[in-house]
Amino acid sequence: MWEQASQALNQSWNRVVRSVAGLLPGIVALIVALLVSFLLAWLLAFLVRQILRSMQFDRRLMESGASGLSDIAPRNSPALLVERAVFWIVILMGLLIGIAAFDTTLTSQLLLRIFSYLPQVAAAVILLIIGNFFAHFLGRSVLIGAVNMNLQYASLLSAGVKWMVLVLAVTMALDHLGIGGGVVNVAFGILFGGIVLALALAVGLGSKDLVSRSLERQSSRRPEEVEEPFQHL
Amino acid sequence: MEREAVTAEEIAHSDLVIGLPTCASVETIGHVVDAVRTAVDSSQVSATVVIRSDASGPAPLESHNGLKLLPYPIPAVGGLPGATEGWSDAYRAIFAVSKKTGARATAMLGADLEGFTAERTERLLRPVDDNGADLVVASYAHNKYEGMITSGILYPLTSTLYGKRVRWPYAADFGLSARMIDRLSSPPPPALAASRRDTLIWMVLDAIRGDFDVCQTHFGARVRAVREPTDLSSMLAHVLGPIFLDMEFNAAQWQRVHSSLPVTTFGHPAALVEEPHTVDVRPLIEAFQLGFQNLQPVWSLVLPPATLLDLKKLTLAPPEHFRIKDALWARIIYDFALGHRLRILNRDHLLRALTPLYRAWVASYALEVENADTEQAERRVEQLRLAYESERRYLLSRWRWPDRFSP
Repeated sequence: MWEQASQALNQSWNRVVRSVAGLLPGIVALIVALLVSFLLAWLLAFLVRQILRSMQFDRRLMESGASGLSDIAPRNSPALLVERAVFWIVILMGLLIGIAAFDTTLTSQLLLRIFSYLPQVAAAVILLIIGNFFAHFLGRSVLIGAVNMNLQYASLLSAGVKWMVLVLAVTMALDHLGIGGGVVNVAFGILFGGIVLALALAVGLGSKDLVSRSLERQSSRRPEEVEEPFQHL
Repeated sequence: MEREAVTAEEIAHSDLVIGLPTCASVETIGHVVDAVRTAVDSSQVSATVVIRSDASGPAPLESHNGLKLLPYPIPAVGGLPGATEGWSDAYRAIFAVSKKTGARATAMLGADLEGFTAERTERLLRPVDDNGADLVVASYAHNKYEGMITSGILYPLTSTLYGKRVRWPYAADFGLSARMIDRLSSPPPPALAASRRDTLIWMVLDAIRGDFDVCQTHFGARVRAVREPTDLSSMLAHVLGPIFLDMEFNAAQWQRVHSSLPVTTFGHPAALVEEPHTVDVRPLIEAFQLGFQNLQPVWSLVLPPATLLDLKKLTLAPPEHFRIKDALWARIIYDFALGHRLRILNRDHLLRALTPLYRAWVASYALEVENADTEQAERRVEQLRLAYESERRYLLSRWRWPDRFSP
């Protein structure tokens, strides 16, 4: 009996050893892939850093109005954000390639799903970047226009427009990524609908006297009217 | 009087061409014909009056003692009913007639019909015909609150940059020689084409820059064909955009200019009765303060810290002591011109962001000339021009080394 038990244990042990031995090439390949990708990532990050510094990327981005990116970037440097993104993307690619070396059904399916999801991630990132740009552009347009119209709440109006566009961009990105499903759409609809309804109620009912006085003040004190004696051209 | 059905191509020659891009209908042309006949001795010269017409086919002419009337398909200019094109397109259409007819002098009158007189036509044509001038620019009689953008920006800036003091570079009334017509008819550089469509200042700038004899003529009070738009920020963007683009495109030329000289002026200035009125500048000052409060992040992209500090002090000044120094104002305009060139932010945003600063300047100017007459106000404008010229070195430094002075 002891011999049978010993034989069974030996067989199990041999199976484990064979399985581990079968995995060893994959593990070695993974380690090699990670090392190579680490080296490549460091090199690419260095190149990207040099290029962005020579382009004065941070300053140009700030001047273009996309200052939102600076707020979320490490050390408020979008160039550093881009550099680290490049670094970790290459590391991730190396990891995925290393995982593919195991050559099992599970890993193959995992890789297939990850790679098929990547275009949506890229599209969502582009949506966010474009949304951020338009948010700041529209915000600045509204700010300058409102100031020139002598609206005291110009900053508030500008911030409102900017955040509405940003929320729209984030919602579109999340929808594109398939995160949250219908919850995001419903929440967005409720938010925007609520804002519009609140504004309508405020103007129509709650603040009509205030708005009326404000409009009267605007119409009676507009610099364009006072500038009647001035002809500009 | 015989009615001749001819086209512009069939007019063999015309000594003079009088262009009226704002003339609305042929029915009201009788007044124009009488005025031109008085101004032009049509027994000695042939003259063609080009008026706007909706006819797309051959235009009938009325010929009367050498004076031809040519209803021509000139595009309607902005502000008038059915306007589809810019001022430049209308003027170019008339230039084409001048070239075809070989006219030695052309008068362009951008005013409404009520401003069209024999005397005005003569004042535009005589310097070209008798004195060989290439471009005659109208110099309008004005009260101290007229032409604020011209007085505060256009006149001192163009004088400083191009070395010739044309008081009204934004005029719509010109006398032009055949040589000038040739030059202005040539297609503009592609980079400047769009900006030149709706303004006429480029004509004066092209003439000043080139080897052309530019002069002015006293023209009396300005009669506007198109009511001035009330949106000040759009007006500033519309007027300053082409000038800043021109600065960028012709930088090599204006950087060689060292000082300005007055241009020959014909005629005598008309006496204008100044109506006294009190101007309340408090809304202008409040508009500036609101602008400083909200637009400081935008201005800080364009203006250096020293200028922002001066503006901050200005926001705290009581209304009676609200004054923008001439040097400060000149530097602000130069900084915005540089910002426009470097595209520090969207160009339309940049020009519109100037509006509160311009309002501050208007308030400061109005307070200074409150008790002054027109002549004293004009001397004040000349002081401003001198300040622009004194700050020329600042402009050159910033233009050549923008990074060194980067805010």
